[in-house]
Amino acid sequence: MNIAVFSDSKQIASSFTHLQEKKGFTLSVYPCDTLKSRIKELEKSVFIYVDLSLYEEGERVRTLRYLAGRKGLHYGIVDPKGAIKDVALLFFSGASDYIGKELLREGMSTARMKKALLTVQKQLAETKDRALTPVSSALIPSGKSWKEIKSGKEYTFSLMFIELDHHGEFRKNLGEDLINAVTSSFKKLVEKRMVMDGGRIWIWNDFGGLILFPFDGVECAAVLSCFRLMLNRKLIHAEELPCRVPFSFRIVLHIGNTVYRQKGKTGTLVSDSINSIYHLGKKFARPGNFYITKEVFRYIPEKLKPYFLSAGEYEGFAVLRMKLPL
Amino acid sequence: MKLRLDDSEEYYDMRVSGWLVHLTTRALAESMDIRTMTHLVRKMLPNYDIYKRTGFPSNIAIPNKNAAQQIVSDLKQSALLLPFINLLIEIGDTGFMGRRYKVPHLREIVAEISKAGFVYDSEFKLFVEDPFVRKTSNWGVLRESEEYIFTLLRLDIVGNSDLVRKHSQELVQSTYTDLRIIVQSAVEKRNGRLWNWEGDGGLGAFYFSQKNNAAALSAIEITHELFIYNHLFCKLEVPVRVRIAVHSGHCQFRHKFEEFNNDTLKQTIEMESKYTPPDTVTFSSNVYTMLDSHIAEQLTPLKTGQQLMLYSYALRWEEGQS
Repeated sequence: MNIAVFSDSKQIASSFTHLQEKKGFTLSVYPCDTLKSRIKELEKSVFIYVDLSLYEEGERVRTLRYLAGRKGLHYGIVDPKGAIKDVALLFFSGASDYIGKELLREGMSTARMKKALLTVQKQLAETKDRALTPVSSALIPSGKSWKEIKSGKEYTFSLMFIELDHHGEFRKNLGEDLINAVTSSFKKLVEKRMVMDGGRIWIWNDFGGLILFPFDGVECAAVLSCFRLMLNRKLIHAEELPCRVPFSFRIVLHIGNTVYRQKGKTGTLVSDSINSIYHLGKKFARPGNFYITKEVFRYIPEKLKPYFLSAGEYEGFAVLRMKLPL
Repeated sequence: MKLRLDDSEEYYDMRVSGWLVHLTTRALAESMDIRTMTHLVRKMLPNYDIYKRTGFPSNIAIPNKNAAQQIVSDLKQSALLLPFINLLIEIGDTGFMGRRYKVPHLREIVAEISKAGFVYDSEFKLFVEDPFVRKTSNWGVLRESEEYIFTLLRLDIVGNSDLVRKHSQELVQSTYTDLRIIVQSAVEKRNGRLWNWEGDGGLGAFYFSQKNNAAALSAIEITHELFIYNHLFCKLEVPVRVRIAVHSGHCQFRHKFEEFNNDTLKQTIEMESKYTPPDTVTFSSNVYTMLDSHIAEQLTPLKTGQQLMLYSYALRWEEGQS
C-alpha cells in the first residue's frame, strides 16, 4: 500500500515513519502547500493522510471540501488539535480514516494502521465487485410514521441527501450575511416541506444535509416530496429566497438501513447506507439534479417511473436521474 | 347611532376591544390639540362637530381627554376606528399639515388590532385581514362598488361536458372538489381570494402586495400540482386538464360575484376561452411586464393571430426515455 502524508510537522511525519520499515508499505511525506498539485500526480491507489493542524478554520473547511469533492480519492485526516467536531460527518463526506489527538499521543501501532489500510483496500475491491444487493433482503421497515421508531435501534429509512450547488462560489462572491440569509432560507424551506411530508432533518451542515423519512417497505413516499421540490424549484427561487443569487440544489434519494439516533447525537454513527448516500451526493450527483438509487425506483409509483432516466452506476449502485422540468 | 351614511359596514368588520378604545383615546389625547383632532376626524366624518357631540358649550374649552374619548367612541360606532388608526400611524410617520406629531402607544395599538385578526400592511398603509386568522372576499377592507386594480386568475376545466357524461356524478364531483382544493390552496397561500367556483372552474383575485407575481406563481403551481394529481391520485379515466388565464385591470369591487360586470373580467374570460390551449396558463402583457424576471423568463410569447400580446406557460420536460 502506498501512503502519502501531507504535513508540515516533523512530529506528525515521524508518527508514520515506522510504516516505512514494514513489508507492503511505501511512505512519502509532502509539505501541505503541495497538496493540490501533488494529488493530481498521485495514482488513485495511493492512500493519503492530510494533517490539518496548521490550517485556519476557513482553510480547513475548504481543504475538507476539496478532498470530499475529489472522485476516487481515498484519504484520512490527521487532527492533532481535535479541531473536527463531527467526525462522523468526515466519513459521510468520503474520508476513510481519522487520526485524532488521542491516537497521536498514544502512538499509532502498525497493527492499527494495517487494519485501517486493509479496510480501504477492501473497500476498493468491494466497489469494483459489488453487485447490487437488494435491500429488501435486509429490510427493517420503520413503519409509516415516527411513532414506532426508537433511538438506538436499526431501521430501514428513505434517506434524502440535499445540498446547495456551487457553494464554493458563494464564499468567493457573497458576503457572510448574504450567505447566512441564503443558507438559512434554504434550510427553512427544506424543513417546512419535508416535515409536512413526514421527513426529519437528521444531519445538517451549512449548505445541506440528510433527511430521514420513515419507510414502510411498501412505497417510498419521500420520492413525491423530492419530485415536487424539483418541479417547483424555479417558483421557490422567485418566491422564497431573500435575494437574487444563483439557486440550484441536488438531491439523492436512497433506501437503506441505519441505527436511528436523535438529531445532534449522530457524531459517532457508522452506517454504510449513510456513507453511500453522502458519496453519491457529494461525488456523483450533478448540480441541479435529483437522483434515486435502483432500490428507491422499485418503490415509486408506476406513473412516475417514466420521469426517471438511467444515470449509470456509482460505487456499485445503479442510479437514475429525474428528467428536468424545463 | 350611525354617523356615516354609506354602505360599507363590512369595511373593517372587526370586534373592537375596550383596551383598543382606551389606547386610541390616549394616543389621540396625548399627541395633538382639539383643533387638529377635529381636522383629522373630519377626514372620516365630514362636518363633525365636537361641541355638539360632547355637549360642551362652544365658549368653553373641551379637555383633550374628553374630546378624544368622544371622537374614538363615534368612530367606533361608525366602523371607522381602524381607518382612523391608519391615519394616526401615517401622521406618526410623515406628520400632518406640515407638522410632525409624535403619536404614542402605536405599537400597543397595532398589537391589539392583530389580536383581532388584522395586520398592518405598510405598503398600502392600512390594516388588512391576517390570512392566518380569517379570509373574506374583500380582505376585510375593500369597499362595495369602489374601483380597484386587481389581478384575476381564471381557470376552466377542459371538456367538462365529456367528463360529466363519461363518469359517475359522484366521481366527477369528488375530482372537482380535489381540483378546487388545489386551486384554493395555491391562491390563498399568496393572499389571493377565490371569488367564485362553479362546476367547471373558477376565479381567483389578488389585490395586495406583489399581486401579479402572486397570481402568476399560483397559476404555475396549479399546473404543477395538477400534473401530480393526474399521475398519482386522479380516479377518472382521463387526466383533468385546465386552461388558466391571468390578467390585471380596474374592477369595481362587489361582495356578490354575480354583480361583477366589467371589462377586466370579460377580457380575462376571453383570454382563457379563446387563446389558451389546454394545460397552459396565459398571461396578458400588462401582467407579464410586472413579473419578477425569474418568473417572466419561464414564459414564452403566444401567437394569437391578433394584435393582442399574450405570454404562456406550460409544463415541459427534457427529452429522453427511461
